[in-house]
Amino acid sequence: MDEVQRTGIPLVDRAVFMIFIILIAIPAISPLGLPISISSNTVEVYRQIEDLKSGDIAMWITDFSVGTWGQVGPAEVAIYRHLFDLIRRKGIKVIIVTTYSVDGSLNAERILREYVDTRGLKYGEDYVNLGWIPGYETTLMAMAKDFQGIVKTDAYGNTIDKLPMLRDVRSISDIALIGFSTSTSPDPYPRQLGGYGKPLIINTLIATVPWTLPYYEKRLITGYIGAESDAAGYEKLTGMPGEGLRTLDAQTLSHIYGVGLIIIGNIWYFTRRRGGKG
Amino acid sequence: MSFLRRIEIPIILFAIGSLLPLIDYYTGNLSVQASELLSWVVILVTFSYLIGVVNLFRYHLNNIRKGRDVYYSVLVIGSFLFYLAIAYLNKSIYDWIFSKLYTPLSMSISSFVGFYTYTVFLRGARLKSPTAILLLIVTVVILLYNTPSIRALSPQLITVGDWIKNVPNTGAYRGILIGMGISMIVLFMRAIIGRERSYLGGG
Repeated sequence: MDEVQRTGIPLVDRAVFMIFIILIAIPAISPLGLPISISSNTVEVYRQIEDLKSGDIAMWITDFSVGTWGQVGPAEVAIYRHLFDLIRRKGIKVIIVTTYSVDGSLNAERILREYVDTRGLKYGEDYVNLGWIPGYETTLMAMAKDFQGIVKTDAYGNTIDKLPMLRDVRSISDIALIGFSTSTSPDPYPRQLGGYGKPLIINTLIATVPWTLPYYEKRLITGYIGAESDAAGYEKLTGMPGEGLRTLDAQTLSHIYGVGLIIIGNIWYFTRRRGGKG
Repeated sequence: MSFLRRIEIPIILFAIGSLLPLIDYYTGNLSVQASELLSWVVILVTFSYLIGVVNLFRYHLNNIRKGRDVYYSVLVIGSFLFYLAIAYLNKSIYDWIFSKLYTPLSMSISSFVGFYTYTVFLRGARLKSPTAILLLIVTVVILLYNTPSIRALSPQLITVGDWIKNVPNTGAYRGILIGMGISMIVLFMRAIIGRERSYLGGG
């Protein structure tokens, strides 16, 4: 019985996987401290959030799925930390909500529980977590036009009249900045929230960034963060290190490994072809 | 009773349901009715999850009854009931399961794609034709462009990467988005006049 029949995976592939695992494990054991360049889009997002003023309301829609935490989670944590820091420094208010699936609200709960320091902040006055409001694009549209009509309670069952910071939120015009994280299509957000002249920020997978660029070009989306590399940059800008900076070395090594594999694969291919085997 | 089975009824319901928000969007009239309709959607979506739970139980209880994949079905139903109960009985265990079990397992499944990308780099990325060469050059540039440490060492890479991202890439996606938009309008028009019936289950 050959290797493929026995394990289902060819030996070469298994070697590729093993080297990959070793490469990403090295920096976890001993950080390399490689330099970092912060992308201009990360600085732009940081600036838009930092420019919020006292009393401004920021709404963050956490819609990414649990499986993509590795790519979207670090930046999401960094942005939450920045927003909650601004509650303390400037007196902004933050609304957290999910529209896509229950995964988003579980992620939001996790970030609030494990990563964000909410001590000293008043729930309902400084921030609220609305949980998951099912309906996705319909919910986005409804929140933009008639916020109170669609939001009846928060994630913990409190009615909206018990949450003072939401009393005057009637529509999207009462919100200063909107952000969202997604691991699927970015289309519904600029479609429903993009035409109101408000900053609209996306945190998403690196593969989704190209999808957002036509919206960004037309300023329907005003800023984007793409995966761990931008998360690392964001953490550096806020001065709050987290998973982005911790995984930066591993990411660098894995990308160089990818380029190396392309080169080795082609050398192998042309050598075999010259020998008449290709 | 036969009246209720007529195909025109769901088509009319679809037309009313979709035209109300549209009229509200373009004219500002009917905003109260449109807003009410949107809140119905939230209720309907919530109930659709209940249907999902009922289906899950029907399918797996049927499996158990017929002795087909019994262990898996018992595991699915058992996990569902356990997680549902623990959400009300012990919040800290519920949170622990989500953070320490569900999240890492979901991430592991997503990571499979990453592993296989590397074997594609080795086996599939061949300089066989001019288009393949172009694709590989772009792949290498974008891989390095998305590596902050490499970007810090080579400002020229940022210039090239930005150009690829902002010019050919955005242009192609713009075309796709315009095509999707036009298709959606056409599909919507066909559905309103009753020519598009696949959403009714009739094909």
